[in-house]
Amino acid sequence: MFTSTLVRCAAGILAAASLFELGLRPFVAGWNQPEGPVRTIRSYSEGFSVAHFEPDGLGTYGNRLTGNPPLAGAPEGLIVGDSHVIGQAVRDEETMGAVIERLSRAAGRPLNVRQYGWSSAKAPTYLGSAELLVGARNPAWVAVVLNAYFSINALTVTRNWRMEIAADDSYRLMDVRPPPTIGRLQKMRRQIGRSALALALWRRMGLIWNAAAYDESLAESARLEEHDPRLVEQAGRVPRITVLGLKKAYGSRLLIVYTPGFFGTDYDSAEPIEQEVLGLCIEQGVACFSTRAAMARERYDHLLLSRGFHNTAPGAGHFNATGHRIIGEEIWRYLAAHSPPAP
Amino acid sequence: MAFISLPFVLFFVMVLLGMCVAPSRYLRHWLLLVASAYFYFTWKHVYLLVLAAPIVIDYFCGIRIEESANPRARRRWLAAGVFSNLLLLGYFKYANFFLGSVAALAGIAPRHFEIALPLGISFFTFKAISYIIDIYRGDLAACRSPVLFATYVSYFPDLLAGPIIRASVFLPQMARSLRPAWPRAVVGVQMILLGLTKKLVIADQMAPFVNAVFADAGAYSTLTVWSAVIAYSLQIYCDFSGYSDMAIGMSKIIGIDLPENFNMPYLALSPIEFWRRWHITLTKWLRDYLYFSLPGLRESRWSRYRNAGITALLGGLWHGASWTFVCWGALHGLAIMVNHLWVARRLRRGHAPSRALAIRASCWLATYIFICVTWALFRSQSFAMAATVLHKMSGLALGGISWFYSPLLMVLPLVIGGHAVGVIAARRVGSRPITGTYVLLPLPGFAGAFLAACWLLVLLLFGGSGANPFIYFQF
Repeated sequence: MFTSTLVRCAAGILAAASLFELGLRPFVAGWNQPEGPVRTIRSYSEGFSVAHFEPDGLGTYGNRLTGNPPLAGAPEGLIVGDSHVIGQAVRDEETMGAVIERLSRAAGRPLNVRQYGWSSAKAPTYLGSAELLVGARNPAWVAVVLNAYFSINALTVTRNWRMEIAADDSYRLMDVRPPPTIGRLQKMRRQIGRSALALALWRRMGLIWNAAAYDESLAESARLEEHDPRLVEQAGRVPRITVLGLKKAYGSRLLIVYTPGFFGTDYDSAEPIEQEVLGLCIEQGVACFSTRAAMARERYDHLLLSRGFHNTAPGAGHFNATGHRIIGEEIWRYLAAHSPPAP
Repeated sequence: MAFISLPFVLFFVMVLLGMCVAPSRYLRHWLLLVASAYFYFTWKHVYLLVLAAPIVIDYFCGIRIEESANPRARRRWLAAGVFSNLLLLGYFKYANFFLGSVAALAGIAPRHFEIALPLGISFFTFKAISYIIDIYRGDLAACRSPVLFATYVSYFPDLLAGPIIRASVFLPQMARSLRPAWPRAVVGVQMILLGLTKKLVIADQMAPFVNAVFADAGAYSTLTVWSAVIAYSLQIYCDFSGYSDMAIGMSKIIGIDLPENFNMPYLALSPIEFWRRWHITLTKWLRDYLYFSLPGLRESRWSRYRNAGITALLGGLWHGASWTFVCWGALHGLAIMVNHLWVARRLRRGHAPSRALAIRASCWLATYIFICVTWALFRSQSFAMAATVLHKMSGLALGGISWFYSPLLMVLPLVIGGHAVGVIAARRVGSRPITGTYVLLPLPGFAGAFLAACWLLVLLLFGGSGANPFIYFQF
């Protein structure tokens, strides 16, 4: 009697797990599964997203595909940044790179855009990866997407790369990525990636823990800002070091794109670091612009927010399709105005 | 110690283990008291004294009321007890509100006390007040055991946000063995899961959208603002009733039955019915200790309606020290008065309540819209904010950002399904709501395990992190 009850209960649990496994498949897929030249990530935390990547060892997941067919022999442009460039929550054809490709090709200028993003990356990652990126792709231009969150974080971030600034403005990059060997945890994640249900549960726990860790890291940053004058002094020099470093790393191909941290509906926030970066760019002769005006125009004239998805609060989270479109259009506008006309 | 946190789970498990191994009922009472004191102590140490004050004062007042043969002395002890509780509540909750209001009227700069509101003060002071009034009325014998009385006032499952249990219901249950038992645990765990689902899957999912829209309602379209207000109606219901369910569930496992606090309030067909279904223990408290105590109850029906209005107004003030809450209470009071007048007029003309579906649907819609409009006021932190929200809701301010929030559409079937189950269960067991009956899964077996596993997975996959505090903790 007891055994048959136990068997019936186990069958019930198995049936529920199977139901969720099948139900979640269209919405959850991991980086590791299936293996192949194109990897797919599906998620439901910001919209119901499907993102494709070409794994080539650069960026967190590789080159974020644009959904446009690559043109043989066309020059390449690179977009480098953090999770906004990964753009996991927008469709391939909505990414900023896809917008640039379409506009460029429509103007008679064949172009392929590759997009490399690193989760939680700051300027040190773009500096640390520069040689590899330029060496591997030899791009015609490199657009580095920056935002307001790179001053003190560039010194304290615990993922990818971080930097240490000396008194003479020289800096040292520190690679804080985990070693490439496949550990037990990674093996486990790889196995978990086979099941949509297990992966969804893993991500949920990660989200909850990450949220807690994020709060802690904010508190830690605030504490450091308050109690570590050396770090605060160094943080004040991060924008300058970043502009100088990027200029040195990418040379004349560099284009710095500043994206203001507009959250919610208020698109009038003042960001002192934005003015500092733009001023430094002018001083150093680095191509640079901010998407502030374009985003505000879209917000007030067309009532479109640059961030947020149908299952998030308005204006919360990563850039949505509108945000990507604006950034893409602004990059293209700059490129079109500052490069020779199409043959 | 947050309710939805690992430390609280460990704390609760320790309490249950203690209840299981404690050799006598007396020790179990002590254990509950120490656990409750520790639970409150973890929020803010010094406020344990605030909790202790009504316990000490009302314990002695209760005994003095019972022992005094002189009616005037009895009245004096009652007044002393009620006044001390109201003084405590007034100082901690309303001092700054009144100072600010007086300063605003006088046109001078407001002065503020540095006071943090002790959690659950509105709830435990109401429990203490009801205790001495019941003794005064002769409905209850004074509790001679300080441990039992202190446990009643500080009982941790309902300490922070109710349900407001009466001493006449609580104290006799303390005479039980209070050993956790399997059948009660099955129901209790399901009630906790139901509460968690309401809180994490519905309320916490609605919160970001509601917060964002109310922060700048003028920027959004009429439809979006209406969506946010509907989302808020779900958020506040699921947040508060979720807490009540968890409190009832925990208490059931411990061995004490707490009263039901909600009975599908959004199915109400009138404002009067809404208050019979929403925060039932507060409504009953206000009825028994405020409405019945107001003068003129037997004089005329107008006095009764006036008293009902005053009761609702003060009920609004009980919720929070702000004029928006007062206004919210006044609106509900007015609606209840109009509702009473309407019913009396129909009865005088010999009309029975209509059973036609169209009429009932219209009544339901009108009631729900009224409740949503008043929720807009309740949620707004100022009249300016409320005016913006209501202006947008009216449709007079055109334009604005349109935001489709898909979780609202996703939780609606869940809420409707839950209500359907509730209605069916209520028909089976009669109109008397029985705690947990409608959530009992057919355990054990295939169907029970299947449903329980689905339930847990929904909770794990679609629930929030539990980081949002319960709305009613601020009251």
